Amino acid sequence: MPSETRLGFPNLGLGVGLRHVHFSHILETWPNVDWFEIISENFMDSQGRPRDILDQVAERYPVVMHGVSLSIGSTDPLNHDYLLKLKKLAGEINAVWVSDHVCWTGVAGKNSHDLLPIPFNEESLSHIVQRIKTVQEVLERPLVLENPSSYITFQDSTMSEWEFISRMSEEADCGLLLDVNNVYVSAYNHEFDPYEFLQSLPHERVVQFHLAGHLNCGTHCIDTHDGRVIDEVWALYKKAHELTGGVSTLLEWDANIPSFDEMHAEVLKARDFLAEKEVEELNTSDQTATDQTNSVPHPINYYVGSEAE
Amino acid sequence: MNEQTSRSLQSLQTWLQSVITHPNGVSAGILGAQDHITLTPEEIESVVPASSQLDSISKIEVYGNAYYARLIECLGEEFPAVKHALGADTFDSFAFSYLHQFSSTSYTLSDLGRQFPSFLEQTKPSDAGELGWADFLIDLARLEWHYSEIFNGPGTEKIEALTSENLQSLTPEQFTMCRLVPAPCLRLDEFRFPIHEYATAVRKKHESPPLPAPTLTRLVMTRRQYVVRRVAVSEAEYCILQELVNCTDESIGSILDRAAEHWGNEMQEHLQEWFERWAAAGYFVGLESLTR
Repeated sequence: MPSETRLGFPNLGLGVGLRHVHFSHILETWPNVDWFEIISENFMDSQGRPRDILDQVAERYPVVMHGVSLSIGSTDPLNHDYLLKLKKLAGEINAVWVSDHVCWTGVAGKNSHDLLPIPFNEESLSHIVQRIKTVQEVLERPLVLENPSSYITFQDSTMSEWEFISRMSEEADCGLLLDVNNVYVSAYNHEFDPYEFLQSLPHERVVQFHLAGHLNCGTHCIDTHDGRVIDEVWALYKKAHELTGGVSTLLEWDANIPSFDEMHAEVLKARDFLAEKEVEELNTSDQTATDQTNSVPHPINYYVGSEAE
Repeated sequence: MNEQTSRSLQSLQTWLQSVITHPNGVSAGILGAQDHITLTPEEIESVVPASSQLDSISKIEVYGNAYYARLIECLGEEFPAVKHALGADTFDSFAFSYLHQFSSTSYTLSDLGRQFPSFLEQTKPSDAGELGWADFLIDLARLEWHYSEIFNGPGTEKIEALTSENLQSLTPEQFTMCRLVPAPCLRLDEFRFPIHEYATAVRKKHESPPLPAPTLTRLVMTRRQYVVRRVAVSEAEYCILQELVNCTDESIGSILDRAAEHWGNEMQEHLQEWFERWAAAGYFVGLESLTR
């Protein structure tokens, strides 16, 4: 598929998230991984070791910036200080693209540090489209937005999530980060057909896929990023690949993080699934849990590494 | 799905945030958020529909539970020695109260613990007399916050610090006309306990040291090669360093002359050794003329 259909963004291959527990391994081995994704907020203010390591990584690998604090759906004003820092970091590390989520994280000056859902209606669509345009003007590049996992819907919604996201991306002329695991989790929680979600998107706007593990609590799923990708999600990934022609794919693993090699091997399974090969250690079911109170949706996304000698 | 929205996006967001951050849970949050959306917990389906598997309150509780769990975990990562000293359950209880009083207003979790040391100070039992457990925790939290700031803040890794030779070759003119420019990562602080030893035992050695006896402890903290370093120094060395760092309109010579009057023999005996150590540790990164 020509790169123009991806807002000019290339297919980077199969990447993994840059996580602090792997810093030493990466510096020692410079692993043969296609690309890295960073959590923007973990690096945008760092003037210490995290930033030094990012600079070294960015010299050797394509790097994509993935944020969790843009709060594009919030009714609070956009934080221009944050946007300028985002733009500065993107320029300094030559980020291939910048992404965040279709969500809001706080209102009235507060930040929940969660990816909170928005109602899918005309008011929120108009609001978010206008803000995406503003952000793209500031960043001077297309914004790429991800469908988050969600645990509630609103009576105020007047359209499906996929209709909302499709219209949003067309009207704002932005890219999409299709998190296949999030589609599965939200479909489970809200009882819709995940394949209808995939089928209905403007596929030419999908710039990137996310894969991750989640926790199945029986009554609902929680997007925990703490394990392997289950077969049902791999099946959705395969369908998404067919529909889009294939785009950059990244595995998120943010809790109970295994060794770098094990994490990398998980995303490399994508090649086997797409080639319809038999994959060892197939995950035939979700992780299950009876106690959901300790399960935190999606990553903490926070690096504390200060040590003293 | 409704055909028309019945509430503004802003009121819905303000309502949801208020509900999921309520310290007494979602149902209490719904009752406490009547200013934003008037309804009882029984009427919640008019805002958030249930699924066939999960009722509306339980769905919202996924966000409510995650809010405190996520941020308490972050604070625990930021203050591991304090968490160790308090024990996980007590720390979580303190962190919960802190988060209720100091909601995050920053895009970055790096700012989340900024007011935690002062929160511990404010919530210290008023009848506490002699130095004790609470004071130790307050000092420990302050130290760990210093570590976080130094770790992620500006450092000297990409700039040349003044060497021992630089300092020893200062001319008389430079002594009287210049000040030393401190490294941006240099911090000085006084503590009532030797909390640095406790913190190192917990954070690096994973030990469980006993509560140390009160001892006035003066620490100089900095960062070299991206690692935070700290050293306990004498009162004289601390005070002279403090003057050199803080007196931005006074020359090196003037500060040392004044210090000599106060510290006399101790200063004479140790000053060269101190300068060598300060140089080796990269405490100063340049000379700044005061005549500019």
